[in-house]
Amino acid sequence: MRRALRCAVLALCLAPGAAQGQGPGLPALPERPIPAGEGRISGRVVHAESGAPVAGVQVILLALDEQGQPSWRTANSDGEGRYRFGGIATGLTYQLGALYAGLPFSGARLSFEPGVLRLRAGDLPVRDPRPAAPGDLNLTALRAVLDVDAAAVSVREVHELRAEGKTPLLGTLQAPLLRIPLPRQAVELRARSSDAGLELRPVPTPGDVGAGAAAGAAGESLAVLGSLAPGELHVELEYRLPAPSADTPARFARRLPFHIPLLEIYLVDTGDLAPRSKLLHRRRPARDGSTNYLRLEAFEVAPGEEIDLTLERLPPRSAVSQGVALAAAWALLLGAVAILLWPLVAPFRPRRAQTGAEEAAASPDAAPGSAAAHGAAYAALREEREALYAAIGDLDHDLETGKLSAADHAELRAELRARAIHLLREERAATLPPSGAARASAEASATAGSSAADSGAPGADSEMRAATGAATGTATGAATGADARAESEAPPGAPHAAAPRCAACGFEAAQAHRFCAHCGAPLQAAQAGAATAAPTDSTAGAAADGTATPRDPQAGGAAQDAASGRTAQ
Amino acid sequence: MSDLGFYALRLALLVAAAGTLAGALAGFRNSAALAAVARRALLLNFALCTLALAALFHAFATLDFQLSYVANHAARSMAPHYRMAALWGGQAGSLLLWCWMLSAYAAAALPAMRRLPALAPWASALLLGGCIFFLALLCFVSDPFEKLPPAAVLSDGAGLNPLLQHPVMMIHPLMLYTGLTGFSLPFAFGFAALAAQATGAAWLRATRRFTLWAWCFLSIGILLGGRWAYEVLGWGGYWAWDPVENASLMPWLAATAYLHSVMVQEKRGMLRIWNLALVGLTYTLCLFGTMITRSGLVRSVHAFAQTEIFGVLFAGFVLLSAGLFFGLLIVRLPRLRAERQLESVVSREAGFIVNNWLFMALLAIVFWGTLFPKLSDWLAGREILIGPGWFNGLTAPVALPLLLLTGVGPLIAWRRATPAHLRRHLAWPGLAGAAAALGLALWLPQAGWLAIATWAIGAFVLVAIAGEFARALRARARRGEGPGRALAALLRKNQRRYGGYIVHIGMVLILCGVAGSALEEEQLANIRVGDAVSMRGYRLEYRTARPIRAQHYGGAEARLALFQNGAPLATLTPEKRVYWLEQQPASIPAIWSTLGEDLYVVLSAIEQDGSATLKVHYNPLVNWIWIGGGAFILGTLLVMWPLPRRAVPA
Repeated sequence: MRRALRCAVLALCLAPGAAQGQGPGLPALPERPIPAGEGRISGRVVHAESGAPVAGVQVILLALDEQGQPSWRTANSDGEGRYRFGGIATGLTYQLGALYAGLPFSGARLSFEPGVLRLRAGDLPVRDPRPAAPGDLNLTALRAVLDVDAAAVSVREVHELRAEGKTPLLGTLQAPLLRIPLPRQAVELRARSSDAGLELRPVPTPGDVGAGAAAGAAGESLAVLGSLAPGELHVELEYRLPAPSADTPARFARRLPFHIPLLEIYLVDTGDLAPRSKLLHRRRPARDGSTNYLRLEAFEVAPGEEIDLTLERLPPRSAVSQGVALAAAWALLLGAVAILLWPLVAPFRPRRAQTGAEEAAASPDAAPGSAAAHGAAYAALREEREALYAAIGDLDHDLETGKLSAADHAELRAELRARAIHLLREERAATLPPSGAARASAEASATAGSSAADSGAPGADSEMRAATGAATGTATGAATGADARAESEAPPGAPHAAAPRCAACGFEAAQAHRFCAHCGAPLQAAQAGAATAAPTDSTAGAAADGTATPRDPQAGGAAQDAASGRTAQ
Repeated sequence: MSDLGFYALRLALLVAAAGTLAGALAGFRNSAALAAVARRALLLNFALCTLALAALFHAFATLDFQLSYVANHAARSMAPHYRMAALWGGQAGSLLLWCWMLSAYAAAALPAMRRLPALAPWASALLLGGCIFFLALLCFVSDPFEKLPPAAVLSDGAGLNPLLQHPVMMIHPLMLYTGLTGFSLPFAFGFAALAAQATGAAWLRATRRFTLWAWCFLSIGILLGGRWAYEVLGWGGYWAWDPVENASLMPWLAATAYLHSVMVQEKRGMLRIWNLALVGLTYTLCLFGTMITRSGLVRSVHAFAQTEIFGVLFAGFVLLSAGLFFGLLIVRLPRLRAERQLESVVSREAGFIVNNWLFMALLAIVFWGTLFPKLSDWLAGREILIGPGWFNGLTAPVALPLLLLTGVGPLIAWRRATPAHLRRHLAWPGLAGAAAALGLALWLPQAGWLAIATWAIGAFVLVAIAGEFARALRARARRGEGPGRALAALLRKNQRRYGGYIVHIGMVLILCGVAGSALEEEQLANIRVGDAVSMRGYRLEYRTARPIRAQHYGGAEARLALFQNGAPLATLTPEKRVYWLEQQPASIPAIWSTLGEDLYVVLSAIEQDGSATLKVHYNPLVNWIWIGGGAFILGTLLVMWPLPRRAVPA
């Protein structure tokens, strides 16, 4: 309430005409009678420094009722500085104030104790203003609102000021309270102050204080004149600057001769403005009703430091029209539908030549026995075989580095070999369509297939080692050799004299098998039996056998290369 | 262009829906034509997502503030590269990036689908199904192309969180998303293998490189996140067990377990069910992590603020994906029996199984700790927060045996290991570990047993790996190869094994670096100009402070002279900033970094009287985390690098 009362007193004191009232007769001050009662308040107006009574001072008594409604009464101090308010209600709280030399002074806050009808308020001190000196009136913040339209940039500057100390200040033309440089290109300039008792007058800027290229209009400043009580006030400047065009950006440039702790600029955002400034930084945009503001800010601007804000108009966006975008979207939609539906509406269109794998991919449900199914099977088998080669290579590496016992190595290797051989056969079968495979098998059965048999088990083993070599990557062309051999060996189901039986484990193998499907050992009997069928290849098989040792897959691979080369010939 | 992006997203949704339907029908009916439609849908979906992404990039490049997303995440003052990175700085853009990556992976999987035609329809359906969810979110919940009303269009945008305007942050989310979305492929192929009843090793081989790729990028993402936190956030650490950090760690743990156990299936035909479960778990955790990051389910410094509907939708999607996968896995269980049984508990496969148990234990701890605050809120009505101490206390005892396995595992043979074999291979590493433990216990008893054990086991593992290299090099030397050539041949021809060892070295270094935190010290001091603060032989003398007035932020920096044992080393200038646009304070630390230790200085405040309040951290061995991370990534790249192989002729 104290704050409200104080504001009310000050507002009352600052009411139009109050500034002129230094004596009796203040006709402009409106009265709102305080409710009547039996209470009385009296006191004395004295000079703060000398303590001498001051006559003719208008004293204001302000009251707030329970609903917060203000009421007041005025009285003038007599020759001894005394004043008295009688016939007032006792149930209210009162605030005393005075107007002296056009300045408001705040007095005591009073209330009647129960049963008490007279109150002595004590002395109400007033002071004579003294001439303002630098540092008496300081800027606490400068806020500017800029509104850019086609015709101009409208600027409203609010200089927030604080009069320090307790003594009122007096600004004169020789020593104004404040001198605010006016912008050079400003037109339609208007100024007002929150203290109606102050006078704002354009004056030539004396000397060169803060007058830079961008400073006052023809060296003019706005002088703040009159008496000023301690406290806060603001001075507003409104003016217009030239609007930005496509070629020339607008410029808001100020250079003030005093320190600005906080500078805030609110720029009404039209969506096409690009403010640039070295001094100011951006803050989050602000919104007031339907208006958006770009917000810029700077702290601790030094006296004479240039505030420079360039406002450019952004070029209009060369946006694709909605219609074009919609048309493009429709085109995309139609294209997408066409692409998606094509396999459904044209499943039997002519195809280009494809590899087996591609065909398989194109038709995962290809009928068993079709080329596509064979391609897919082949690709999968080849991949699996490569993985097996890698596993065998790993196994050998484990043996070499002593992480696997020889017995475990042999057993594990035999398992992998058996699987690899099985894959080689299946892979070969998958390479060609069944009819072709059967024909090729039949043709090969008498020649290439028996070549391994001619060379016996070691030759066949070299094939496996070559495969291993491919896996470890040490045998150049080993895989080629292994595959070539797989191509040329006897097909499953090719006629043989007797079913071979594994010498190592006794497992009965299929006739075409050259390795035991159970333990992976070479099937010597079967191959020895077929040895005579193809004497021309026996040398190749023997060479492979002769050069390859179990620990030397590279040699085996090389030999196998030779063997495959000859077979191909 | 943004209109085009808008339409492209909606069209992509239609295409993905059509492709999912076609893929599923192709799977059920075994129809080639429908499978071809699904494959085309994958490519089309990728093209349309690319168009949408390009449109959003274009909007950021040209600062199209008509788009609400651009207006909220970019500003004219931002450098162009950060403007572009702002695309994934918010919810809608990062969802679009995620969706685009998903579509890109789906398109990249086409060659693998060609090799495995039986799996292609199902894999396509699942991948496109994932895209449907993200596209639906983008179209109906969080639209990056949403336009502002004309009256609300501003000349400048709101900018991006300044802490994200950091070089590391430009690529950290990319790496993380590349990793997280990458696990969609093994997930989709695993599902397809179950659906098509082709659960052999073929799908594993087809997705192995993708899995490694995703894992590698997830690792890089996690490491970069740690590095960014250390350099930018100014709290003195690199890992805080924040829910969002945990969200990326959980799939990494599951994926790491999978990468180990998959070897058992490849080599021994075992753990087929387990591998499928891990694949399902990994991607489910990727989605789950994304959900908790974006739905606001957990409190985190870097969680996206989100609406409730987002969390509900995401939770539904996670449950649906996981339900489909694990439901099918359960249905197919009878067909997934292992080819072999475990023959010995002292074998490499047994080692892998223990390794997996430990990873799962870690995962369970992290999962529980991440969700516990929310669970306590649901059950007890009070959110009980779990601090780093809880995580450290529980994870360390699990991580140590895991670290030990890193050294022991590769030394044990497949199937079974004999005592003699173990003695022979474990003697030197064991000796090194014991010597390190003894030495450290005498030299640095204050480090505590956990840190000493970590370093000792680290020494054990490093010597074991060195022994592995030495044995292999000796074996190749017997063929007459020189050491350099032998090493190159070794890395080239057995890249998985020896690349894996390098990854292990990286992991050892990282954990040893993390263990350095046992010797951490911290000091808070308020000192006046001319005064000094001392710590561990270092002396920081406060010389002066000066205000910073940059274009986008203001604040102060303190200039501190650093001395070590009296000798001048450097001038450190920690900063305290406030970013104007975002009104966000930040402490930019000054770090004196050496191989052995970091001195990490944070300026908490310049007080009214001119004194500086400093927080000084002594962080030992932190650099080894980044060095280890480098080795880790190098090893992973080596493992997955597609070295040219000799073609196996048809």
